[in-house]
Amino acid sequence: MFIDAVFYLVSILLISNSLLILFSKNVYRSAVFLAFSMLCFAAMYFMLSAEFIGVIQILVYVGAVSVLIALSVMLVKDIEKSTDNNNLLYYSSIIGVIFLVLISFFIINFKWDEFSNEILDNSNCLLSSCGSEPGILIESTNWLGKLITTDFMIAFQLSGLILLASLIGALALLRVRMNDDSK
Amino acid sequence: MTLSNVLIVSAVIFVIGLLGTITKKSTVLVIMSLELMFNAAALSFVAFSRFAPGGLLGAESASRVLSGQVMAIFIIAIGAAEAALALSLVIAIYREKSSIEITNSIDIKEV
Repeated sequence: MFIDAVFYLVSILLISNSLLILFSKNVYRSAVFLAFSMLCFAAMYFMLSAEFIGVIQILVYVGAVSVLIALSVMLVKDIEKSTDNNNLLYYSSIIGVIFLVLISFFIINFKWDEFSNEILDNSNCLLSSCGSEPGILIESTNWLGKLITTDFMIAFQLSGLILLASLIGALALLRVRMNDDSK
Repeated sequence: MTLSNVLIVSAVIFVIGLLGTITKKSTVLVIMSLELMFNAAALSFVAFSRFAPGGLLGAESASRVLSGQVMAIFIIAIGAAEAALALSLVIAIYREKSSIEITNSIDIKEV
């Protein structure tokens, strides 16, 4: 019951913050609302007993990506016109609502219990121990470390390669242009 | 809190991000909406991982249960790399055009 109340509260906060990103009149406020919605995502991860993902979410998105975006907001010249929409808002809203209705229809009507007959919906076991069993996925960080370094080793190294490539690409994009300026 | 609730929240956030990506003129807002879409996908991965059968971990069920969380870690890594690269592209476009609107065609071949 307590988990359900917190879940609905965090969901309302998450959706309203995400809508405020789009409909706020100031780009800098949009960046602040993005940080808030990332915090709500982290709270959602904590409730889903993925505490490592929640901590990483706060470190990476709230700490790093929001600061990057807030810095790039300084490039915006015309703050008043910066949140304008193009002329696709009407049609894309219709398509988005149709997509949302269809996928909600699928999610509600799909029999998840037949998909896995021992599906866990005992959310009371989440924060406290229930009966003799401890909380669900209580050691997930430990197992995540083992899993990344064994089963997902190649994907882990490839993600490191992608990070290196994006760093080099970002530096190269800016460096070439600065050389052009110095001529 | 069931699996359907979390998936519907994830779908709503994904549609909001999709609308922002299509309709916004400013490049910074498009990048913010892209981040929303990344996180909605990661949220649905973590939800499937949480409600997977065999929640109490043993060595044989860890790979099956926690694969969703590993995917969420990779999504976060790719999202951070994408944000850094896209914002450097924003700075490059700004130096070329003195504006970061994406209404006109942008030639970044020489940027």
